[in-house]
Amino acid sequence: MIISLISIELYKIFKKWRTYIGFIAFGLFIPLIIYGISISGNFYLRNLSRSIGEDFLIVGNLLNGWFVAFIIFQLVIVHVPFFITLVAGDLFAGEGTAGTYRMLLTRPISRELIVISKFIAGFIYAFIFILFFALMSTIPSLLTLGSGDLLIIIDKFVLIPQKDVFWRFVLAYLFAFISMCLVVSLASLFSSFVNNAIGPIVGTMAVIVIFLIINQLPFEIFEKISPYLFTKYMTVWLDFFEFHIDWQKVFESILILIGHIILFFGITLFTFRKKDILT
Amino acid sequence: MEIVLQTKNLTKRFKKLVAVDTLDIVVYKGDVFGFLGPNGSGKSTTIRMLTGLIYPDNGDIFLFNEKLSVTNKKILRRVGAIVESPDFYLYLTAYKNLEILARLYGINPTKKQIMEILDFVGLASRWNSKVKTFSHGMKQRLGIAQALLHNPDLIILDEPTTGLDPYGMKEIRDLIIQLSKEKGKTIFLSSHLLYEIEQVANRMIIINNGKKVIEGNVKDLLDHSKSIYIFNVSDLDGSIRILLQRDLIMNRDFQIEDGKLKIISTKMPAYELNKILVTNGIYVYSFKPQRTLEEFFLEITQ
Repeated sequence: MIISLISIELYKIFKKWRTYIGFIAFGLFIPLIIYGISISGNFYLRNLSRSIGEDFLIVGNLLNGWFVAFIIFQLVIVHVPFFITLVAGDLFAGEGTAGTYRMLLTRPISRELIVISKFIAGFIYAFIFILFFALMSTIPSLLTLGSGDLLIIIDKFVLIPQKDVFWRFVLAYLFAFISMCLVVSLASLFSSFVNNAIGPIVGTMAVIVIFLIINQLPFEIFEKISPYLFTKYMTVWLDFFEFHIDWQKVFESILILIGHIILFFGITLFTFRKKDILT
Repeated sequence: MEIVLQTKNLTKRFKKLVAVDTLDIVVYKGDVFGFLGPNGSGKSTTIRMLTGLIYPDNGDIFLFNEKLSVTNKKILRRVGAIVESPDFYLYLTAYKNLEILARLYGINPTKKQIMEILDFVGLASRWNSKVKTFSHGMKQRLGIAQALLHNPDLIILDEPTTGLDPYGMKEIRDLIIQLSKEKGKTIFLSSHLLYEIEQVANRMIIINNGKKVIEGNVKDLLDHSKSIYIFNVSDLDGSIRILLQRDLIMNRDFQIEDGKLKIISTKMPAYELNKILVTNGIYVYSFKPQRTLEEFFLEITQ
C-alpha cells in the first residue's frame, strides 16, 4: 500500500504546474551563467588569482567545467529551498485547499501511512530536483569548457586535482539533498497545520532566511545562538571542497540534519494523527 | 436484523460548543436511513466522525460491529461516502480521480470497471475531462461514483442534493432508490429537507443542537403528524369565507402566501376541502401538501 500511496503522491506532485517552476527557472538560468562565464571567465579568474599569481605559477585549464559548476553550486544552492518549499508547502495544505482531505482520509488507510507517503514523495521530489540541478550545472559546463583541476578561492586558495573532483561533487550534491530533505520536512510540518499553502511556503522561507542571517552576523550573541540553528549545518557541503575534508564535522552535520528531519516528521505525525478535518 | 452502523453516546465538542451530544444511532442492513436536522444541528460533524475525519471526544462508533478508531480504519473498506460537497483533484480527469481514489481502497480497477461506474452516474462521455471543467451537479455525480467504485455495503451521503437543480435532485433521489432496491445497499442519508427523506427513507432520526429529537419509522412518524396544504384557487377571499362559515377552519388556521391559501390546520382531509370549494363555485387549480422540517419540529416538540 505504501508504494501505491507514494506513487499517487508523486503523480499529484508532477501533475501540478508549480512543480516545474524550479526546473524551468534553473533550466533557463544555469545555461545563461555557463555562457556568461565561458566568455568572460578568464578575466574573472585573473582577478581572483591576482593575489596568488606572484607566488605560484598557474598552468593548465583552470577555467574548466568543474570551476563553473562550483560557482553555480555556490551561487544557486541558497535559492533551491524556495523551489523545494513551493512543492513541499503544498503537500498537506493543498489537500485542505482543494477539500480533498475528505476523499483521502475517509479511505481505510491510517493517517500515519499518509504522512509517511507524503514525506517520502517530498524527498523524492527533492532528490529529482537536486539531480536536475547537478546535471544542469556539470554536464553543459564540462561539455563547453572541458575538465581539469578545480581551483577554489574563497577565503583561501585550494586546488583540487582532477581525479578527486568528481566524487567531491557527488558527495556535495548528496549533502545538499539531505539539507533539502530538511526543508521538505519543515515545509510539510507547517503545511500540515493549515489549509492554504502560502503560509507554509512563506513561513519556511522566513525561518531559513532569518536563520541564515543569524548564522552570518559577527556578533557574540548571534554566534552563541548559531550552533543551535539547523541552517548552520546546511552549508557544510562547502567542506567537501576543502583540501582535507573534516569528516567528523561532516558526519556531525549530517546527524544534526537527519535529527531535525526526524523531529519535524515526528511532530507532523503526532499532530496530524488526530487532527480534526473540518475543511 | 444485522446492525450495520451504530453509535453509542457519541459526543464531540469544539471548545465550549457541544456539536454532537451523546448521540445514539442504529442503522440496520438494507435501511435507507434519513439523518435529519436543520443547518448547524451536528449532522456533518456526526458524518465526519462516522468516516474518520474527526474523532469523538466521547462515545464509540461501530461499523459492521467493528469499532472505528484512530488505529482501526480498515473497516472503512466497506463504506463509501460523500462528506459535504465532493471535491476532487481539479487538475486530473474524472477517470484518473476515480482510479486514484479506488487505489486508496487497495483495489486496482480495470478501465472497464471505471467506465461502467461513470456510465452508471451518466458521466461516461466526460471520462477524460478534467474535473475543473465539471459543473456542481457533475461533481456530485462523480462523488457518488467514487463512493460506489469499491462496491461498499454502506453508503453515507451527506446532503447529496445540495446545490442541485430540481432535475438533478430527482436524479440523485432515483439513484438512491435504485441503490437500495436493486443493489441492496444500506444508505445513510443526511438532509435538512424532510420531503427528501420522506421520499426515499424507511427509517429516520431527527437531531437538533447535536441531540436526538425523534427516531423511528418514517411512515409512522409522518402519518401521525399534521399536514399543511397549499391551495391555488380562483377566489381567495371566497374560499376563506366558505371555509370559515362552515367552521372548517378558524382565523389562526390559515395564511395567504404568494397569492395562495395555506391551510395550517383543518378538521377535514384536503380532498374534502377541495370538494366543498368546488361545489361552491371555486376553481381549485391545485392543492398539495407541504411539510417543512421546521414545522414538523414545532409539532413534535410542542
